[in-house]
Amino acid sequence: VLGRRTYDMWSGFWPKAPSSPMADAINAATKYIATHRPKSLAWGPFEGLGPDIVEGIRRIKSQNGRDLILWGSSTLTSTVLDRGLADDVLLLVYPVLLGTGKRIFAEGTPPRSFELTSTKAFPSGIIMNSYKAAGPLRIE
Amino acid sequence: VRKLVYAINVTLDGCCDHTKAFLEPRGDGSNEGMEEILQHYTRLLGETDLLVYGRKTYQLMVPYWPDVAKNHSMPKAANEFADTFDSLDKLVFSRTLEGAGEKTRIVRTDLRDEILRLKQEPGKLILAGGVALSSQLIELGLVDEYRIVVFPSVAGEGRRLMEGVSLKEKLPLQLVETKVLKSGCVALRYAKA
Repeated sequence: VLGRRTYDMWSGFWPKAPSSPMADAINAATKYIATHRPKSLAWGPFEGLGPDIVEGIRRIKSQNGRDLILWGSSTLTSTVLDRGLADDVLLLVYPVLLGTGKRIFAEGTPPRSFELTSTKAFPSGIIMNSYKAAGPLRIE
Repeated sequence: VRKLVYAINVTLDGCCDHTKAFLEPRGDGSNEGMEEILQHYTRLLGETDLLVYGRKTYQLMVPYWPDVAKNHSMPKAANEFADTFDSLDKLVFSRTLEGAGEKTRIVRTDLRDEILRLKQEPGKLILAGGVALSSQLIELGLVDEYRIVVFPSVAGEGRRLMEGVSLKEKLPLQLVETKVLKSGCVALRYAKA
């Protein structure tokens, strides 16, 4: 599941990427795209989410199949979290200070709590934390 | 030679406002999660012999915690944190603060020189907290270790860690330790690479 901007970035990269388990899996997977211009989609297999993105994601979730991954796509991520459509959230923390740059979770995202389900540190110092959505956060 | 450690709580969206990084109490008002956080910081204070603050953070901590230490008015974990906090020397960097509590020295100028001098002295950790002063310490490259507790929530608003900090180049860190607390907070410890 990708927003249009991430899809456009990925479609310029993955189809030409050398074969690897990750590239092959991404190229083979169905890409469900949030877009107003479904006619201009080219990198497949793809399917538009339709004019109502939330309804589109609900429809796909209700079908049988393997898990859906929403990746990057910060605009779409806000919508998906706000509407309670994400079952698990995986956050990777890199061991670097930048000071500036694009933030995940835009200003104005409704307060929300999560339950930590696992954490794993890689030899590189990258940490992968997995969370389950646990509903809105009650501010004291 | 001693290390300067910066400790801060953040939410998943990087908000470091002290009113936003919190854990909800249980229905009966108890809050084991926050007690565990206080125990975490009491241990860190045990490795520390000097606290370094800007005015705002200092005034959040003092007289609040010394009062708790005096009256033991809170649950055990908070009283123990207060006792340890109260016993430590403090340094406040401020141009305007006129008076301060016990064991506190006010410094007006030359943040960099003062910290470099203190680092040369023997002793335990120097611990900095808060945002404004710590941002300067990070920019000046004076922070040796980062101890960041990541809370399992999204705040959606409020000041974010590193907001307004201008680094000449990105600063790589080395992950030293991760510790998972029962509440789902993850305590991260990084050293300057």
